[in-house]
Amino acid sequence: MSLLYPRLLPAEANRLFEVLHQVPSGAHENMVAYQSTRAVFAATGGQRASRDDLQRLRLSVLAVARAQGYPEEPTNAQGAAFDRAVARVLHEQSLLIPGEAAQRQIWAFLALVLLPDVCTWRWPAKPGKGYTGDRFKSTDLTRHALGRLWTRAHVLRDPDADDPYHLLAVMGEADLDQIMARRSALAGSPALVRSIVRAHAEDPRDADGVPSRTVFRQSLIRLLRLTAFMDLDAASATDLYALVRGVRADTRRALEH
Amino acid sequence: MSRPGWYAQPFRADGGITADGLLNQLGRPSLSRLSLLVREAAQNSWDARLPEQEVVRFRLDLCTVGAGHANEWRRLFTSAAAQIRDQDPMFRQIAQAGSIRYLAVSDRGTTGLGGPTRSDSGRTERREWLRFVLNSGDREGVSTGHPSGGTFGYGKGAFYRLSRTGCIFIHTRFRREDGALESRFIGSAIRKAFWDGGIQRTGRHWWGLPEKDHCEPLRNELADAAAGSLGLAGFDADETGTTVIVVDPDLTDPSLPDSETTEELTVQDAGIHLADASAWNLWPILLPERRVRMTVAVTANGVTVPVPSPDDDATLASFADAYRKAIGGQSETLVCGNPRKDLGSFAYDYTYGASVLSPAARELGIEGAPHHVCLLRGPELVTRYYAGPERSTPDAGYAGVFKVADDLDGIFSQSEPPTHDVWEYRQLKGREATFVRTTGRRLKDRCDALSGAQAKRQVKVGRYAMSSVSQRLGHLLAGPGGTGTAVLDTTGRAGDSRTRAGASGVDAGMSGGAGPDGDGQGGGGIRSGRATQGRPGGPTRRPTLVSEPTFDVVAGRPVLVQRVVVHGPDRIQGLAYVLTGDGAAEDSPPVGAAVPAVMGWRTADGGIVPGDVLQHEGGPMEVELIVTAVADVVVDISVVRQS
Repeated sequence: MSLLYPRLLPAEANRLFEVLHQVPSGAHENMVAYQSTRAVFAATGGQRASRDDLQRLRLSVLAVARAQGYPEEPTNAQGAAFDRAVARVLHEQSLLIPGEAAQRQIWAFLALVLLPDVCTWRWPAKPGKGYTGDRFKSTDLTRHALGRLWTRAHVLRDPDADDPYHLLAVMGEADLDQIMARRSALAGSPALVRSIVRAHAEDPRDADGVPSRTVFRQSLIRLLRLTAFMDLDAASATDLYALVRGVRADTRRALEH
Repeated sequence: MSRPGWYAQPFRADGGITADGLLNQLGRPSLSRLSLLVREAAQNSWDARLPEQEVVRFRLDLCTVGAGHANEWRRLFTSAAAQIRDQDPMFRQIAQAGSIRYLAVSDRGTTGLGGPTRSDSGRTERREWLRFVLNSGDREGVSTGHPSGGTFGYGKGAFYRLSRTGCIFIHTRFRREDGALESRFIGSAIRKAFWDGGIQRTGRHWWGLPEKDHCEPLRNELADAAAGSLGLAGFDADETGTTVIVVDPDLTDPSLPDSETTEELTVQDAGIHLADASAWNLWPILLPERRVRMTVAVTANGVTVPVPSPDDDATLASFADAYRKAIGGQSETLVCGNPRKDLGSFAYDYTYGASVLSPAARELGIEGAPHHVCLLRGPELVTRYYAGPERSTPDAGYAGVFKVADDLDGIFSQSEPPTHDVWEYRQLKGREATFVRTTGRRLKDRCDALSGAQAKRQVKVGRYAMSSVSQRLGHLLAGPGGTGTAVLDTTGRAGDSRTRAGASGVDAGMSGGAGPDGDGQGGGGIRSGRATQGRPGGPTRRPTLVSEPTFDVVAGRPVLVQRVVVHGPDRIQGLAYVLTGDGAAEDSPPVGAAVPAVMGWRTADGGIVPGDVLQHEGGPMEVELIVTAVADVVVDISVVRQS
């Protein structure tokens, strides 16, 4: 079964984003609602999320935030831990299907209507600049406070593992961003992303002054050369993993010499 | 006349050679039994071709005896087991086996095995029967001047070796001197020497009409009836030729090392091996354009197995190309300096992406991309493949052919061992050894040059553009003025609408690209772009890229060559980028990875102008842009006009 979520109309998203700035920080809980008159559902494709569904989701995310110190301002480590846990919560509990998750207005609804307090806590206003629109209005899905977490969990989920979400813990925000946001040609193939992350987990050493992160970033550039003429979607998981490991080994050799 | 039966050869008063001693004359060849049989049998057949015959038809039929003929086979081997009282249980096992397999090796359009059937019948013109059925190492009547392969007459050993029982049947038809056709049928086996009561036997046996001290073949109707009762194909109309039946061939997988537990090939796989071995060992005499040639047909349990040919195998095609150049005069003559002598003609073909997988070719040393020269002598069967160094790119290779000069054929033939698969100068003396040894050296030099191995060893010479020097010295020469390829100072013309080299060139490349996309097997792709618009309203058309880039080798390095037409006086720059999966040019290459670079421009006279900028004066001209090739990437090549 899949759930349909309210899609916040763009004008309303813009208005609520402005309202965020007028509400003093710490008081955004007052904005929380479970519905909006300026939101619509997709006509077909699943069952509409009820107030109970939305409330349950909100409580789950709120519990994760509290575990990371909410409402005190989060440290970098707390922010990262929150992201990892919420990615799993969203993917497991929201019952979103990919087609629905690709709708920006759904994420705008979740960030601006259902969870404005948690999202402003995670992405506080920058002095002089205010809140970042991408994080709330979902103008860029790869940067949205919640949307990018769901996508990450969806791509990295490894159904054969004991813990299907274990790959979420392998990489930090910045490294994952290298794949998910910067290298869209690679991120389009979930099996490839999983192979890359798994290879990174398996080969974490910082040998001879070459940081593992450099090996990882350089290997992405090499993979991009190959994807110009190889259709990796057609490769089996085993072949893909062998390819990624081979590229990584080449990269390491090139860097260590 | 006696009834057909088995005859076991006794030792004579003046001594004799044991049967297994006979087999050992072949030495221990490096090839598998199946490949050896193909080489030796085809050579025998090729040497036996009738003088006026243009096509020798050679067949290899791997069969299982059908139900209709199985009884006749069993009867034959039951009688053999009863009559031959050696300890070897093989004949009995065949008689009792559920199914009996045989390999029929036949040639048509050949002389057949004529001549007397007793080896003491005095001097005669025709001795094929004596040479093949009775004697060993018989060279009587073989003219040494004639370029012949089967100089030794040992080829028949390959038949016996392939048979697990050491047993073959021979069915032949030839034209007698009086013009009449005669058929003969005989069985022949080579086994271990043994004691038969008080008499020691050599281990050679014949099945036919035993006489007092030799065995006569069945002749004419009797012979054809015997062959027919065993289910063997006979002869059409007035065909002549020979069929040799190898009983119970040993189909042990030749690709596995000798051990106790070797796997048997299936009949189909053995058929494929025979077909491949035919192609790789015989291709020069199979080429369809030859006036005198051989055709090979292979079947396995009645199913035709296609024999690879230059039409469907890229590597064979390259060898065939090289062969055509070698005999067609487009070749290089390898020369021995002292004493001065032409050794033979050499030609080659570069290959790209050709890869050899066949186990039969692997036995000959070819696997993956070829880096070999096929050595040929007068009979033009493959002597062997000489392996040179590999080229630097795994997909790139070369296929060469070396054909010994006709007048040296005799010398090279003497340098061959009985298996004809190597030229060994240590068997020769004096000048003769020099010729063979020098040939080896010349081949090595040529292969080093072809593979680029020599280029790597050479001293690195700095690549400096000579243009500024030539510009300064140019006034010493009379003639039309010019600046050569010097890079002119264009800073004063910065207002001109200069096309930026980067993104715009690549964009044009994408829209005009026609490269092979989706080449997934590590080949790397090429796409060529259109030249971008430069100077609007300029006097000449912008340069155009012609056709797709091709691979070539320059100074031992693999390169991409893009043909470019320049329409008039112009100043153009070549650009080469790696295209990534994003569809954009790579901004920074991976650390340690190769990037394509413009080496220079090759003009119509073959000279190379180094550097990425070409200054052209004069009328329309076609030049080639040379870009270093990089493995496993898509390269975007474009040409822009400089202001």
